[in-house]
Amino acid sequence: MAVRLYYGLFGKDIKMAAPDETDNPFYNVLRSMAQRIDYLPGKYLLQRHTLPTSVGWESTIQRAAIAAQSRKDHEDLYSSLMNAFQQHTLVGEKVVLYYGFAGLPEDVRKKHIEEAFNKTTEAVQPSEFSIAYPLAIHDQERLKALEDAPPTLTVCYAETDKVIFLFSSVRSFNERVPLDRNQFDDDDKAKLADYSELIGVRAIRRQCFDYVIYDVNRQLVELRIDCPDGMPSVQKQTALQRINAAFNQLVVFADGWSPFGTTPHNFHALMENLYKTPSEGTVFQLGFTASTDKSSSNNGARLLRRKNVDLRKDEFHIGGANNVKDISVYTIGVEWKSDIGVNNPMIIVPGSVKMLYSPPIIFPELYIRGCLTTDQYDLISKKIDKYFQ
Amino acid sequence: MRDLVNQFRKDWAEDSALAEICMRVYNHLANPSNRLEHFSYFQLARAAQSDDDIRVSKALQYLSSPRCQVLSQLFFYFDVDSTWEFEPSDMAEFFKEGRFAHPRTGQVMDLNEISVAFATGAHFLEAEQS
Repeated sequence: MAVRLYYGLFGKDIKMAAPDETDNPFYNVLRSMAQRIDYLPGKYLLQRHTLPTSVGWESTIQRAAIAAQSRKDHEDLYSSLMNAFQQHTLVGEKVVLYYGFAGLPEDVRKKHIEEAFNKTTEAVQPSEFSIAYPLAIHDQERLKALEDAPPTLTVCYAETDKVIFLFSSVRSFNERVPLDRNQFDDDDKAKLADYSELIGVRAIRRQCFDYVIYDVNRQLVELRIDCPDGMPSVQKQTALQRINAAFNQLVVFADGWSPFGTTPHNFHALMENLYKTPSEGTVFQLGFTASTDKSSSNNGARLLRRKNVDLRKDEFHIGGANNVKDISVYTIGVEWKSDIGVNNPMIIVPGSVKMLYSPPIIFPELYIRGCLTTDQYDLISKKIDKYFQ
Repeated sequence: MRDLVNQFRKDWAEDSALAEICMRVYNHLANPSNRLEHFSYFQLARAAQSDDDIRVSKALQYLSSPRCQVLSQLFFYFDVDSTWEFEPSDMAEFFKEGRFAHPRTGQVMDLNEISVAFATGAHFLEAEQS
């Protein structure tokens, strides 16, 4: 019998920095990477830099850090790894909401962007996060101390067509750890004798990089929140509300307008359009209702084995779909093939059948997963823009 | 079969957009090949070609009333992976209590958790049987 006490898997063998690591700056960047990048894509990134890897993050960090420091090109290598990390903070494993500048004339829009930039620039205060920036705090004791702090505005900067605001927070996740029964005393061991496996749940903390992005060309404000797969939805909602409130507090304008005062964009049409365009990406997850005049069913489909099969071409799905009068999609996952990384960039519009029954029909958020580079993320953004309406 | 189009116009003389939504839903259901075993709110909003949720909700309520019987209401509770349907008599009791109990866990739930769906109403079905 196994004792199941867990509800999430965030296990990465990240340990606190050993004292001798201070002499080698690569430890810092590698530990920052290990904190947020899954092991396989992380390993891929290191191999692309021709660094040695090993089994699991911890031994990989040790091998790669030593090898990196002794390389002739160690300065270039350091900035390249730093760049890979920074890109991941912007594009890796995000839940995304769009808000509009809907109906604002161009001059007012420009004024708001400038004002938001000026107000937030003034509001950036030195913090533990800004000292660590662009890297992450990875010492578990320091993270624990910062866990209850509100989102901290860490940096804001402008690019040609974007103004980017970074808020830092510490969030904790549950890690499932097998327990060694020898650590229990004899009395407890006897009580646990019926259990073949003992599993404990331990909180593991990490720094999250949450962004508010004014996208001038696309005329929207994007909220991009760190949301690794399996993050409890309560925690995701809390994170969204806290960033929303923190940003509002900084930038409510003289006219009372703030981007998050508006309703978020609705991704319902995006979901339907992607479903109806078989040439676009590969669908790996679908939730839909199928109705005829005699029966209706709720179908949540996930491929049992990926093998690059498209659920829209799944034979059961085709036979079934052709025999019904109506398919209403309430969740979809689509991925696009990429030569970079071990995962493909993907969009997941999450939803439940209930959302089709409860007006208003709004699907306000989506997950963007599998991206390692801003180019991959931009490709996904273009798909969203294309199929949004 | 009574023609309800004039009734919609009269009943909603002050809100022609709402009357229009009623007519679209009515016309959609009048064609038997469009009928589904039941309709979600979304499916009827699509048939009404409207994203005006306030008007569509009001129109569907009106079309389900004894005066029209174009639709009948169904009551669903969607859990994570199960669906329960409640009878109108259950609903009457829930409204009296102001709450209901989760059918499996017995936990007290808010009435807002119950979703309304729609079936083709007696107006069409009775007329077609006779």
